[in-house]
Amino acid sequence: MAKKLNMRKRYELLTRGLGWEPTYQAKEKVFSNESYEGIKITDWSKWEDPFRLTADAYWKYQAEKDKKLYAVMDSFAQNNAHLNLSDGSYVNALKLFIQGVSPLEYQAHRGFARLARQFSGEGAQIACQMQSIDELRHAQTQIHTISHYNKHFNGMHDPFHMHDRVWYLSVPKSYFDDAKSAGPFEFITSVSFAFEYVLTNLLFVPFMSGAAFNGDMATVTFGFSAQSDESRHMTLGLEIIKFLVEQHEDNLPIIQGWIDKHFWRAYRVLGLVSMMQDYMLPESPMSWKEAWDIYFVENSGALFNDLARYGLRMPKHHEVATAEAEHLSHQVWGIFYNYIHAAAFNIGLPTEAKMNWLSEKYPNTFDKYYRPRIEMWREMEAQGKRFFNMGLPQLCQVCQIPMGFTEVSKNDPMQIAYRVSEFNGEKFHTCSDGCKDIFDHEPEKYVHAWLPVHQIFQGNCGGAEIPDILNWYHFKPEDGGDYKGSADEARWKAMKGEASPATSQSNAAA
Amino acid sequence: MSQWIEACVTDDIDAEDVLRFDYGGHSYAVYHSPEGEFYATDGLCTHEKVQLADGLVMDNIIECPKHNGRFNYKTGAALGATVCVNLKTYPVKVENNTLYIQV
Repeated sequence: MAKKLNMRKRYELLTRGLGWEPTYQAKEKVFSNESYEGIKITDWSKWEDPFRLTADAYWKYQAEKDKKLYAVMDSFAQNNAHLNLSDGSYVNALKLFIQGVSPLEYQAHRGFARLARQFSGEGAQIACQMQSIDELRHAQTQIHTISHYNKHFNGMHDPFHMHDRVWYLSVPKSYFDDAKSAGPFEFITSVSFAFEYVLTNLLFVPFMSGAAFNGDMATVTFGFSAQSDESRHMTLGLEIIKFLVEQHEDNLPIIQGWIDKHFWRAYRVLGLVSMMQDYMLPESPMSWKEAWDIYFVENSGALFNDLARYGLRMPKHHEVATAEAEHLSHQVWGIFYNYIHAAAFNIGLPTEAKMNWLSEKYPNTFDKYYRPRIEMWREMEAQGKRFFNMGLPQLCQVCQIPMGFTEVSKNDPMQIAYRVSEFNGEKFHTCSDGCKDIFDHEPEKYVHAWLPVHQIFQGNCGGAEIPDILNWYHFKPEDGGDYKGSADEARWKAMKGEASPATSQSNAAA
Repeated sequence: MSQWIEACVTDDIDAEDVLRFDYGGHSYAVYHSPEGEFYATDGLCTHEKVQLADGLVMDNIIECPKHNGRFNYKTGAALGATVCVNLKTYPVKVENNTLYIQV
């Protein structure tokens, strides 16, 4: 009987052994995406696997992770554990997650599937194939976890449809569209390195620690399950950067340019997370500024010190992002306070306790710039004059966020930041030097941006009136607006026995 | 009190491979390095309780199959995320093609 192959030999056969040299087609034609970005690969065999998994081991361990996760989810649902949340308003963080983040997992799945096909190195093919399947698993497990909340709360009924159309969701969507419509090396630099390695903790830690602090063990569990894959994704991100820079000196400036661009793109998307973290969690484990200092200033600072030997430096405009850390969440929340009637989640003015927490966490900025505005809005609400902005905002041509950011890095935080570029005789507006640099480098790409406000004006979004547009978004009238007085608040109170069932039923049916 | 326990015959492990060995309710992993030497460590990863013998050996590294943490099996050193606690190592000896671990 032939002796069973050892793991090492099986690994070689199941990874490198899957490649072959084409005979009846030129290799450049088979892997047609590999050359047009200007990246030079001289020897794929120098690729060092960031992790050593064969497909059979991969399936075995992923199945184990899923079994554990689904056991927790079942028990969560059977015990109606959503009743243990700190407050019903917490669920708004989950609405933002399922609308804004889970569709990105699916986009990443598609993107890595393309890489698995288009890289000619077998090691990179396998790593991308596994990541593609991971990302699909993440989208699925998130949908399954959050579907329990969809039975009890508004705003989570059609997240993928919303993601493709809604004004605030075009911010994350356009970032991934930008990466996916680039070549494979730019995509992997963007998603695996700039996003997954440099910034992923700023996305996942706030959501998952927020979930833990607010009694949402189902979300914590899918977070842990996904994070156990993220460690593989992060090592892939680091390996690809080192590999590309070591392959040819001409690659370095291209890679640095992509790091600069996608750091800024991803950072702008995280503005939504900053608002969630500072304003939407009933119980807040840490502020955006604290998270930024730990996960970017400290950890990414150390990472780029380590990468200096490859000739790589910190992403351009990183100091602007660090200066903005004391302003970001307040400015993004201010935008949503204006337009929450056109969103599919609820927010509200911070409580006095939350205001004091914000003063403590933002000693240089909150009381000086943001508390007075909130107090004015609170006064207006008390007088029955709750302010909603009924106009349509100007959007940044690149990040697609309404132009609400200010000149923080120029020590003028009361002045809206506003940049203009010209291309083919037309003017295009961006919110920052970071976004302007991106536009100016590839204007022919960004003039095609699908800007939700422009699309509304052009008549492509279901009609000219807000109800028409919300209908086109698949929003129901009760999905948006202030949490106070919302259908979800009434439902939560009824579930907790704090309101008469008659009131809550009429709201739930609305 | 430490004692020498018979783990396997040396032919059971190829060079650059690993084998699980259980004794007294405890799991061990024994390794055969590419240079032909033998080593032994705790069988379970220090991160989560996963059998390292299901993982892959390359040179002097064992990689846990679940979260891909890597250890130097000769020294037990954890080599970076996801593992941060070193692996316990055990003395080994070979007598008459039999591998013994001191536990």
